[in-house]
Amino acid sequence: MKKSILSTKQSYIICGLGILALFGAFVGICESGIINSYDKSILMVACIAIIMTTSLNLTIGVLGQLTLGCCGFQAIGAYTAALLSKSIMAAHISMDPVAQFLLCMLAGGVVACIFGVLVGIPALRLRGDYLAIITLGFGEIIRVIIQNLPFAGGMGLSQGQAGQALIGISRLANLYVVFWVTVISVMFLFMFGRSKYGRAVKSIRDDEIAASASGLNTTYLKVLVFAISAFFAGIAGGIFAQYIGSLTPAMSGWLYSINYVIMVVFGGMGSITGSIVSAIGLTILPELLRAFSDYRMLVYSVALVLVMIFRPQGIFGSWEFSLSRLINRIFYPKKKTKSKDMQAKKNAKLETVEDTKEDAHE
Amino acid sequence: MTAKFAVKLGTLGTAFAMLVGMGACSGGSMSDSSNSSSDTYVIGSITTISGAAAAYGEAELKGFNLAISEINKAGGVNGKKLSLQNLDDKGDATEASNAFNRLSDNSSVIAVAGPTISSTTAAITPLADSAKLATIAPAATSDSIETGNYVFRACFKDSYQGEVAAKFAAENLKVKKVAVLYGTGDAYSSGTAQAFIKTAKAEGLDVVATENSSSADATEYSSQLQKIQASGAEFLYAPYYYSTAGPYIIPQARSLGFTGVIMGPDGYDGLQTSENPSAFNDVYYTTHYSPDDTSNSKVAAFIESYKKANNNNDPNTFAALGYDTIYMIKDALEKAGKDASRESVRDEIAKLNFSGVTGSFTLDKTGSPKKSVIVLKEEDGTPKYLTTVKA
Repeated sequence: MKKSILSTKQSYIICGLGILALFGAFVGICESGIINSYDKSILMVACIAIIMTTSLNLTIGVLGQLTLGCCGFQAIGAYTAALLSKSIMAAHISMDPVAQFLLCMLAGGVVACIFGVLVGIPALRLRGDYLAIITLGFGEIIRVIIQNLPFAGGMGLSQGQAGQALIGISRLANLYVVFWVTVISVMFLFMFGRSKYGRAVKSIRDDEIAASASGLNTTYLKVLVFAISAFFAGIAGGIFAQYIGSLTPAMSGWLYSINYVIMVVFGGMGSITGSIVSAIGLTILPELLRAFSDYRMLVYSVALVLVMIFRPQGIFGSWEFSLSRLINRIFYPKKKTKSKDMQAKKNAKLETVEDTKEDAHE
Repeated sequence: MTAKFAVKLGTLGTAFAMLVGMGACSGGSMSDSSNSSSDTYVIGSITTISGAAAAYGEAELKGFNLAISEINKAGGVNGKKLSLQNLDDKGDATEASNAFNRLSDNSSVIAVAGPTISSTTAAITPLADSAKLATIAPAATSDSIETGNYVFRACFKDSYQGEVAAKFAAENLKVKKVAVLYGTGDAYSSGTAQAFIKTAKAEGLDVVATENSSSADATEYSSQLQKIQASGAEFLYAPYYYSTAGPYIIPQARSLGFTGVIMGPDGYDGLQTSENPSAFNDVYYTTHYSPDDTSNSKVAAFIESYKKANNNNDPNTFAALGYDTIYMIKDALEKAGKDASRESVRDEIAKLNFSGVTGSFTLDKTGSPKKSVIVLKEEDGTPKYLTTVKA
């Protein structure tokens, strides 16, 4: 290991300061009137996308299992939060809006997490393409059930859907609160990836049989990751419900899930930095392209195709941004190039190993 | 292996997105003139011009543009010209709300026309209320969007069609025994059917059979139709889309020997009758607008100017509703006078006594029109204007 000029404690403090600075800049931008409510709504959607993408990255990038049902969990979270918020309103319980927002959001996360465990236990017996298809199926089941639930706008399971939108949800989502929720979610997901659980999960990704032979309970770990991922998808759904104020079951369709998978692949599987950057980028890009009017979806698609051709590993690969490493590099500029070379060599070596492994699989 | 699959999937998804994008390109001309000077009123519009419902949004947009160019040619409103700022929502709720925020931030936008479909309209309803920006949805018929605050619509809602059909059966056709067939898996189909049954009972009709299919796009209806035939019904209300009613329901009913009247909602617009046109005699449907409606003098003028502007193509219902939407905003602007504000335009829309291509109407407390419904009758394969059921 390379020696750092910062102790662990110091690097935590520096990261904390970095986040505070980011928040300061955020507040500054919002309060000074540089941006209008349209831009704020884009920021809000970007925050939701960041939580979705980083949580999905845990399953796709860290666990290495492709799931296509993330929007199903998002929908569960959204509907839970919406119905709780509506019943709080109906019962005339007066709450602090921020507390109510957080309560509904957390409820959404918890319910989504429970469903994540229920879906995960049978689904995670499968891997790869099969798992993708089964999660796709679960996403659709969730959509159809929501469509039919009488209290969510449907007419009862035996009567068929009304498919009506659930409207009149209090729009309590506050951009600053959502910012902190996003920060905490990302922090948790990042720390989980680095913890001993995270390393165990990564070992499952690299070789499940070897991991199992080393005494890891792979089923438990896989369900754990799935549940955490579902929890944060539910949180994102809870925010979405309380931001947009009306819900339709269509939001849990597989096309929306694919959209988040694209964000993860685009940013680089396994890289939280990549997930964040691509979530922000791919949320803002279609809006920036409104100037092209008719051609905007074409330009957006071409941009995606080009990235996939020239950087198939995603923009960041598995690289992570680190503030303390940046500081180290500033203090030891010489070591930078050396370590980079070493890193490149190491990567090349890893890639050949991975290639042979894949060849062996096929 | 998984990583490779994910990359493949990503590329696949991208290709799909590209296809959707291609759909957007067929949109044709679009006026995105956001330059706001004091001598123009900017009307914002949110339409679905890419994605699955793009055909509807494009037709609406053509209606908007036609109405605006006509109004400007005639000298504008209150001495000011109108301009349209159109944003696409891809039929997606989040995109629609982003688009709405963008319009409401632009202080020169005085009112909004759109969105195209019901789910996007539901998404922007709370935004319209909090931004105090009046919005008229041309064709969002779902019953679940009703506020009466800042969101209005130019079309009648789903349940209203069912009510009108029941009244028409009782009063014009004078039938006694009616049957209903509907798809439980579809909001539109089940919503209109429920409203029909309720009104039919209130009108004293005998509902002898209520049959359903699980979805609105099933292809086999023989068993349900046999029961209906056995019940002795003289009239069948089957609220489905043209894509199901044309090739499946109506021919199957006729081949089982059902000779009574079959009636449907505006989803029958576009029925394909080429294979056996005589089977479609005695098929009726309710709709918003008919090119043959001679009782409404505005229709002929609308068709003429639409054809001139669009390479001799015939306008459809969505274009007609879009056209009326802009004229509703224009009337409200005129009433609000020189110093029209967003609030005063909203109040004037609520009080509007409007007469347009799709009928004459006022808006009720929930922002939906109580308007006349056109009834069309199929005659040897072509829909003919039959009557207008007054509200």
